[in-house]
Amino acid sequence: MTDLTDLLERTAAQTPVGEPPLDALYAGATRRRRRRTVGLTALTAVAVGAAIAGPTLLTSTTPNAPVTSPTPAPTTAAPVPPAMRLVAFGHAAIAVPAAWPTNKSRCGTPQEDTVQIDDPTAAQLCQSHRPKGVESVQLTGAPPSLDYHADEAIVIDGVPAQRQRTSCRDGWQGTRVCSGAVGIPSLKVWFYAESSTSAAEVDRILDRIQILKDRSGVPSYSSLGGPPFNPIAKNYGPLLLAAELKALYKWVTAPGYPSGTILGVSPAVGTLLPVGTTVTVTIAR
Amino acid sequence: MDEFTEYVTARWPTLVRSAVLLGCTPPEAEDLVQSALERCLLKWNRVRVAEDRDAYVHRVLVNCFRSSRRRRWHGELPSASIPESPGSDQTAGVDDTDAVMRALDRLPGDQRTAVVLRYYAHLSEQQMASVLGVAAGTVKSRLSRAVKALAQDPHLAELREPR
Repeated sequence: MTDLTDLLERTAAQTPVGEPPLDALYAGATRRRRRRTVGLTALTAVAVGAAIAGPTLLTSTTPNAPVTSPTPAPTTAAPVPPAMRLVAFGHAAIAVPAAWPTNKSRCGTPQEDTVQIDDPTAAQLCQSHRPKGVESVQLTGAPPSLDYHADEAIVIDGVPAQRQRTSCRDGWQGTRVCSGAVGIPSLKVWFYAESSTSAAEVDRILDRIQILKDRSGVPSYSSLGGPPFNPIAKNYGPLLLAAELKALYKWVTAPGYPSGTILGVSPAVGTLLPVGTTVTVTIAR
Repeated sequence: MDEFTEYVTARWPTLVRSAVLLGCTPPEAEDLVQSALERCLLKWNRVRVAEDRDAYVHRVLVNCFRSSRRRRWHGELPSASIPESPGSDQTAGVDDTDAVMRALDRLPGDQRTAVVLRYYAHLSEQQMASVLGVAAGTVKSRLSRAVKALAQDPHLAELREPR
């Protein structure tokens, strides 16, 4: 449905959009907050007045006696740590900021902080540039690129893994892009992190890889291959088995697809599930 | 630059254009997005820890859009004299933008919203279900009907052909 996306984007691009009215936004929010506070205060005053006046009127013999209420102890809001979510292939997971969406990229190149999982735009034959300050991590079921090589052997939660050292290169308009990778061949998972902020960001992202025992992520099928390019179901079964997930195969008529081609899985690839959960695999009849 | 400012700076054009595709005029769209973002700013602590920030903001945007449509009066307006109406410009029919907007106008509101969220805002079906407050199956069926209707739209078919 790329053409519909393309049509909508072309149409939307005809609308000229100026700079966001940040000052007006902050002022508007303050106005709303004040309105809400005034409303709440009025409601509270009415409620407190009713609560005090009711019993006082009913029981008090000295109508002018002062009414006091205990002062609530001041509360300090604890700082909120950045929320994270886990995405995983099998038992290998990585924690990413919860605000990171999936596959926010163009031509396979992230345009904002994102997790790339079977990124459909990567197959498009086009080139796009990475803006500055964008972090991303890509999960793959095969080594992420021909450039991938293991520089050192590491161990993650007792599982042997490989680390490709973080390196940086100059890109478009002086944007420096740093990248590094961790591969766990025994679990058939590779994590490829990139940052146009700094090499330290790449290391920070890759430090959040962990091995889970009682949960497992829906593995990718895109790198399985098959005749001619389509992933075939018989190769996916062992991956689900290794991930300790159950498979439910749903056969559908799909003209143009060779029999046995995987058309989709549900829940989506990368979703973290309790071990033993059933994954529905839709296959061309 | 704080997190909210960063978010708004990055997403403002997309949000405004989403509102235009939903059926707002450009000035209405800017007002609508401003209103939605003000609401988000009030609850930014909740937005920033939301599982998907874009989905959260789009939910607020879609709710604001629906409220604005509910408030709009579509009945007759009394007038001392009949206002001159220039009529629609038929020559604009050749314009790509116009063809797409007219195709979207022909869709029922819920299908139009589904198309914009999926194919312009790039939300997943799960995210859309959360934004629209409906089951994932409902999202699928809305999308399916919308895509079918758009595929049969003769003006869009012309646009899809290579030029």
